[in-house]
Amino acid sequence: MDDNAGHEPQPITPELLADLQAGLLDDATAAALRQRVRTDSAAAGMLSALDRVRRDLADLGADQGTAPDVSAEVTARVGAALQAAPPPHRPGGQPTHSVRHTPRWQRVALVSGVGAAVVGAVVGGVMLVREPALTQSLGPTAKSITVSRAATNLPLSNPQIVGLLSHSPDYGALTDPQQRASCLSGLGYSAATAVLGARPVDMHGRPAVLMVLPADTPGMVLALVVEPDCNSAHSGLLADTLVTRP
Amino acid sequence: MGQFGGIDRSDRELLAAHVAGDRYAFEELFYRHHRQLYRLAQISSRNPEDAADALQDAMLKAHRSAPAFRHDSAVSSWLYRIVVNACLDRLRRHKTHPTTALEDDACHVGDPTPRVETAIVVERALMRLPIEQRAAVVAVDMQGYSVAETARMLGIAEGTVKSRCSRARAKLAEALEYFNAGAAAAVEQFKK
Repeated sequence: MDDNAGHEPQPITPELLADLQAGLLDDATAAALRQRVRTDSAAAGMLSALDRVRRDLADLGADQGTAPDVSAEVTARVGAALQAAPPPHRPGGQPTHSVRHTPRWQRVALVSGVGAAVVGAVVGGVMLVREPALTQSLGPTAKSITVSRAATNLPLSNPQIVGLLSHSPDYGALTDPQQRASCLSGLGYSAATAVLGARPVDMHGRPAVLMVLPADTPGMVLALVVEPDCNSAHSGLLADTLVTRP
Repeated sequence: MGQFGGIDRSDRELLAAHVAGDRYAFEELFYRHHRQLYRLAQISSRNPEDAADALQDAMLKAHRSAPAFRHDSAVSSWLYRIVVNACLDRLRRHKTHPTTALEDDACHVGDPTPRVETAIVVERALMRLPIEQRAAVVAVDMQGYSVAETARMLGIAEGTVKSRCSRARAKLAEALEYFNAGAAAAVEQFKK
C-alpha cells in the first residue's frame, strides 16, 4: 500500500476492502485505501456491495414478516416448557429482584406495597428518579423480602453467602476487572461498587458467578447470581436475595 | 388466540400481564414472535437441535427475567437479543463440538414477494457460512454488538472477530452477487 517507493499499489480486492470495513487495517493503510476508493469506481462498487451485505443482515435480524414457519414439534416443546415454568415472582405479587436492583417502575410497587398490580399499571413508561430517600424508606419491606425468600433460589445457603465475606472474592469467569465493571453496570451498579465476596457457582447445571454486594439497608448484603457473560447490555441476572449480616 | 376484550394485546401489555401473573401471556408473546426467534436461533447455531435447545433456554430466561426488563428497547428486540445471546453463549461453551451441516429444511411461505425472496436468499447464503463466521456477523451486523462485546460473548480475540466478519461479508457479497450489482451502480454514480 506504500506508493512512496514508486511500486505499484496493491490491487484492490473484495477481501482487502472487507478487511478495511472490518477495521483490520492499520490507520495509514486504511486512509490510503479510502483515498483510492474515492477515485476508483470498481472499488467503490465493491465497498458498496459489502455495505449492502451489512444492511441486509441487519434487516434480516429484525424482519419477522419474512421468517419461515417453525415445526410444530419445536413450538410445542418450547410452549410446554413455558407453561411448566414457575412464575417470575412469588405469589402475592412481590417482585423477584432485590430492593437495590429493582427497576425504577418496580420500586413504585415496593413503596406502595401493592406489588404486581401497580407494576402492571406503571409499565407504560413512568420513570422515577432514583432517590436515596426511597431506598431508606424500603427498609422494613426489604426485611420481609429476605424472610420470605431465604436463599431457596440460590445455590448457596445464607450462611454460605455470609461466609464469603471473610474470604477473598473468587470472581471465576468475571476475574477480568473490565468485564466485571461492565457486568455491574448492566445490573445498575457503578464500576466502583465494592464487591464484598464472590464465588463461581453452579446454577441448575450451568456455570454462574455469585457476587455479594452492599445492600441499601444497613446490616444486610445482597447476593446476586449472574451469568458469566453478563455485561452492560445484558445483566445476566439469574437470582438474588438479601441476607442479614452477622 | 390472545384476544383481550376483542383487541390483541400489544407486546408490552403481554409482558406486563405476564409479570402481573397472567399464566398464558408469555406463551402468547412467544407464539407471536416464534418464527423470527427460531430463525435467529437457527442462524446462530451449529445445527437445528442446538437451535431448538437454545431457543427453549432463551425463552425460559426471558420468562424469568421479565420483571427486570427496563423497556429501553422494543419487547421483540429484547427477545431477539436473548435468543442470540443464548446461542452465542452455547457456541462459546462448546467450541470443540463438531459442526454438522445445516440442512435447509426451513419451510418458506408459498408465494414469495420480492422482500421475502431477498430474505430467503440472504438467509440461505448466510447458512452456508461456517458457524464461526456466521456467529460473528450475527452478533456485529445483525444485533449491533461491538467487536469487543462480541469477542467477550464468543470467548475469542477481537482481531478474530474482525477477521471472521471480514471473511463472512466478502463471501456473502460474492454468493449474493452483490459485487456485480455494486459495480454497475458505482459506475453510474461516477458518470454523474
